[in-house]
Amino acid sequence: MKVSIVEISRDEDEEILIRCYEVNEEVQEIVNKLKMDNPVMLGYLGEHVHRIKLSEIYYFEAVDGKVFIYCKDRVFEVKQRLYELEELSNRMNFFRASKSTILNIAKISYVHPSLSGRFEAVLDNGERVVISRQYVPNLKNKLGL
Amino acid sequence: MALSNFIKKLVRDFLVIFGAIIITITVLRQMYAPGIGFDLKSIYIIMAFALAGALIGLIMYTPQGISERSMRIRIAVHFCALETILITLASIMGIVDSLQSLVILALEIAFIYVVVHILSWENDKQTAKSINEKLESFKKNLSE
Repeated sequence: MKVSIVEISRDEDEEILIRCYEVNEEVQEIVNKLKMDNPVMLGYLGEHVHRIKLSEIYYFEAVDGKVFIYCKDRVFEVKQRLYELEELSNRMNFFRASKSTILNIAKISYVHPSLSGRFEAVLDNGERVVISRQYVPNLKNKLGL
Repeated sequence: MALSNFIKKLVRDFLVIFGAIIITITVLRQMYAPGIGFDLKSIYIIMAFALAGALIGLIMYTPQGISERSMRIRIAVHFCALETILITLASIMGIVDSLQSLVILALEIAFIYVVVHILSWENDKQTAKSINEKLESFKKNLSE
């Protein structure tokens, strides 16, 4: 299979185009790998739409029927529901931390138990997020414990 | 926790509490008052209090997430409710019959409650430690 790369100007959208005789397993594998390696989400901040890499997301949180993405120091709204994001992020390093949050494992600095019987995750940016006791096994599973 | 799972937990708690009370009273009576039997009224009283004891678990049921402060308040309320139910049961069963014995029982319940929480917290610390160790190697693998 020949591989061609064309550099384009910034005012055009980046695109990966696969030209093939048929969509076989090899092509499907390439497509899946591309989707996994460069997953992005559309986040809304006011009137602007931002493309956010999944790897930059600290956690998702559902508040008052809306779902928000929390990055290092910015917050965006997303159109998906939390259960849809859970399905999407299960393929990545995310796990359900409570009824209303999905956390990125790669952004957790450490966890510690709280006096109320729950766990608290301290993230790389200093934020603290609660992990409900019933969801701790999810984290342990993801870490192979 | 989903409501159906919570109800299952409630039923399980009720059966455990009921069984524990019956076994404890049976053993104590065998040791100190073997002549006293269990009448139907006593069984119903124990069932009622076992149900009450299981129901106070509703205090800790939070279908929506709550803050740390709210959770601690609920724990305090749960403890007070538990003390009230146990002391009331003990009074009805004749285990406490004076202010002194009531205070001693209250202190014993408080001691056991605190010990259970401390043991649970120690267990959680071990869990957190193993998670943090795995997190470290996980992040190291990611950066490689």
